[in-house]
Amino acid sequence: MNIHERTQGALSERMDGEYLAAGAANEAETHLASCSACRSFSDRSARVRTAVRIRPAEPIPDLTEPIMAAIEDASGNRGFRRPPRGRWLQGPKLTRRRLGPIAAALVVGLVAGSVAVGGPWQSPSSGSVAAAAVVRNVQAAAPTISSYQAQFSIIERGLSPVVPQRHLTMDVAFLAPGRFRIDVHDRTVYPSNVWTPTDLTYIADGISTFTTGPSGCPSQLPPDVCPPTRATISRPTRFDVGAPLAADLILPVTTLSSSQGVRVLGDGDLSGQGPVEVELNFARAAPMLPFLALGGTWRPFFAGDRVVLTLDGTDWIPRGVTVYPSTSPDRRAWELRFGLPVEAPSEPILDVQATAFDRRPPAASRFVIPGDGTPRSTSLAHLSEDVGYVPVTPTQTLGLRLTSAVAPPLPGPAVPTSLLTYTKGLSYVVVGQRTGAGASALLGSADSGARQITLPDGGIAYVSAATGDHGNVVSLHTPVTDLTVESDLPMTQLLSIVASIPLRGQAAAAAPRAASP
Amino acid sequence: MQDPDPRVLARARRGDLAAFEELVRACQADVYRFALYLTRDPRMAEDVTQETFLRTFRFIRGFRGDTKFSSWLLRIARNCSMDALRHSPDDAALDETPEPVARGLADPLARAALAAALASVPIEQRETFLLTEVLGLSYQEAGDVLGVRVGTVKSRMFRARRALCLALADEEEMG
Repeated sequence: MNIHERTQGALSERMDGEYLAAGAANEAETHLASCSACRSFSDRSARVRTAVRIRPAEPIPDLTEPIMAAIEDASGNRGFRRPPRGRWLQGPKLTRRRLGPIAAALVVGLVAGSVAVGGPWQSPSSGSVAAAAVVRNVQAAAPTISSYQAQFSIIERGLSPVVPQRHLTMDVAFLAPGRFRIDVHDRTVYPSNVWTPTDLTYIADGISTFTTGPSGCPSQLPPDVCPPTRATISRPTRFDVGAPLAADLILPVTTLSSSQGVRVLGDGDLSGQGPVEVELNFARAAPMLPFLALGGTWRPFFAGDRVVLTLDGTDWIPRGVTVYPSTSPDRRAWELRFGLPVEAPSEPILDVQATAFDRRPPAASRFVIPGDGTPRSTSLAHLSEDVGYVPVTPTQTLGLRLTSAVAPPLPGPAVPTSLLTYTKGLSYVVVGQRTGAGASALLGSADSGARQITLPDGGIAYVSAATGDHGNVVSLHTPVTDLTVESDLPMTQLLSIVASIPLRGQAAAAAPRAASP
Repeated sequence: MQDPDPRVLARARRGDLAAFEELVRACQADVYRFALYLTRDPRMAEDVTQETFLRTFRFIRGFRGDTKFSSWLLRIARNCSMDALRHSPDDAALDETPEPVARGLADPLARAALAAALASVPIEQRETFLLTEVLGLSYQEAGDVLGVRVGTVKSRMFRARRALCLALADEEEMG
């Protein structure tokens, strides 16, 4: 065995987490430094690993029932369990059943064997599978929604002993690319004029947003402590790379970025007929209730409160969101802290239901942001002149088109100097770039929880899965350029877009923890 | 691949069908995936998965615990896969079924090259690669499944990797 074979053999073993004797490890390291062939072996082995480990899960059938039926037949133990359903043959040979593909469950840096499995989703025990299918369907619907208008009724209970119930209505509109509007109208008859109605307006156009409404007043304070004021909260621009605030009200892409903590209620029949009910906790569902964050006065919610989300089984657009008090014992302590009475878990404290719904495009004039000073989208050539560099662009965008190229006007240490937005329907990819002297740390959402992965070109990327605050994020770092790419696309699709960006990432100075192999 | 809860395993060994059902639920995905990679035929992989658990049920009392349960189960799955491949009337399915392994590579040419290379390595290298690289087994566990020594797993992994790297290198030169 020559030195190359010994070195490559040692590299192979080390990749698989096997123990290497110190002598062998030293020899391999020393040789690797001077041998390009062995370095190529190392690089390509890493590419192979990326190829087999970063990929969607294949559809996996749930074979529990036919297996158990066959075993009962074979062991003469029939009658122990309920009889197998008609969709399976009762013999040991399987019926052929067309399985829908399971969610493209994300496998980034994970061994494929640990992925949730899928199959027929009718049985209650396959709830996680049904949840994965809901997640996949919602994600698949995002690029198909190019316009939307809806009216909602909002019933809120428990704001205050003197205002036990409030009724509000809400208009929501969306027009691709990237234009959202929410208007909340407070219909409550208040006991006195010290209460300020929660009337809110939110408009977003690309990265520019505008909000107006009464300033927030903590709802647990009596009205005379927090005098009613009617201030305009105006945030004309938002320079960070971030998920559009209103998007999840239209389709819960960020909320349902993974099936973890999501349970499909009922028999989980996802046959495409009728509504599908999904249960999750309030912390997870918060992106679906963006109006709570726009200002005005709202009752408090406990992070563990139970949220039931009703989705249409055909277009996967939410028709209702209902919040129930959690049964957790911790909630009582929380109620005491907020001066709330004991709230019954069966009584909804917030009920948001669609009363009208339309897929026709709303008038573009509804999305005009009042005032001036918002950055205007320009051509890539003009943007290059403005920022002094040519922004890097992905060659692969999965059908999303460049709809906005802007230079955020207010510089800051962790702020991109150029933002490119690609959209298709509700799906978006935002590429924030910072090039020049300040590019020394990872931008924006690439937080300390980001995991380091190796892309197919051998470059290093930092990956953060979507949370309530942001979509899936992939960041690349080089000595002169930092790039943060955020999207509501599934991570596998986002990674394929990032892989087509002609920028080879390097390890960042303050590197987030590396993903364990 | 995780080993099941030892308490569930103990109950299943005593013939408790509910416990065995738990084992099926916990392990069927890995069994199916391994069978799919070996047979490259989803229908055959379903049959192999079912046959694997039937044999497991028959022999589970004899499981001594000298390897991990998951290794023992995958060993049965491998035997069932080999039996199924031997008895398959033709290998037409091999051409229809896309290679499931290489979809994570962004470049379609490299992906095709990798898939072709994996399909062409000898089956003993292929199954070793699948157990180690895809299912994440250690060399010892892979050796338990395949009934070979750790040194053999090591050299098969190295040879499989070298073949796959060569395929990528050829593709890079052509591209």
